[in-house]
Amino acid sequence: MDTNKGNKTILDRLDTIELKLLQEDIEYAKQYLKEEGIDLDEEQEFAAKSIKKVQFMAKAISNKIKDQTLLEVALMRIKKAIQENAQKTSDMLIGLLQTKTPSVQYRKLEKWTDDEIRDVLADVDLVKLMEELDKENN
Amino acid sequence: MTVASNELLMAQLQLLDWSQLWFKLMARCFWILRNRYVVKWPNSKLKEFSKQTICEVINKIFIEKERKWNIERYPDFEDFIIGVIDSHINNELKKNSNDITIGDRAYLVDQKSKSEPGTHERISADELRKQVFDELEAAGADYNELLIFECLADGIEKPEDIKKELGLTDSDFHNTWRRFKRKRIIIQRKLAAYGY
Repeated sequence: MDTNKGNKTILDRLDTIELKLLQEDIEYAKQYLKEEGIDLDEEQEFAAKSIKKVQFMAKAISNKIKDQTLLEVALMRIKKAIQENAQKTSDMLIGLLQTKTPSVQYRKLEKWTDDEIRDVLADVDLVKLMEELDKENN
Repeated sequence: MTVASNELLMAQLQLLDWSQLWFKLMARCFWILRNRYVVKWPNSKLKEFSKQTICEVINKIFIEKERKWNIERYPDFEDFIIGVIDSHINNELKKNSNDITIGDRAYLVDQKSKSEPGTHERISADELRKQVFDELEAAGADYNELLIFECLADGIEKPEDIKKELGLTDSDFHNTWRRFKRKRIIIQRKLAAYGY
């Protein structure tokens, strides 16, 4: 008997087929679970809840990464704009900030540290800021 | 190594049919724990361990990003997650080896069978195949089960090839296969008796 072809016994082949059926044939996998006493409806509900939670968390992380990337890009653009024309950039940024907090007075932008600019950028609509900077460049 | 981008990962999370995949992963966990590690657990513990394994693996892939999807090695995401599940089970069992009772599949072969090799060691492969066939038949294996055995003995290991060979529908093949696999112990005893 071909019991050991390619270092595989007939029992290895039996296990290979069983695992392939469980992986590739959903009806077989469901029947297998039923025989193991699993309530498929209950399991499906648990799976749906768990995946929904992970989808929500993964999306939040992904958005945070995107926001962080956008913030760093905006910081670089602002620093470049300050070097090129500090007064104009300052006016434009303060203009954006004052739409949210009109009463606050801001000091000269060229004296701000990177962290201070980052803090301020967190309060600004970054997409709008980038559009304004693009306008200035054009 | 080419690691999947965040966008590709997010697409798997949003687009895959997770309820179907969940069943497949759960079934795999059960099978591996029962058959590869032969854990001596009640069903409730098996179920909890399997669920926890799947949740932890999904977290490690999508949230903690500890397990990176190498898309060259695993072009198919399902193959990747199955690999992570297998390795996670192995790590968890090793980590908790003092608290977990793991059996040995070899013990399934009874001592009487183990004492046989000396008397039959010069048996030919064809003769052994015939003996296993006869024992399966004596144990009540039907015509299709015996054909499955012949397929395995001929080296066929794809379910679709065997199904084609037998000319059965999916459902009939599943039923026949379930009956056949319950007779695994008969083959195992016979092979062990001749040193396989």
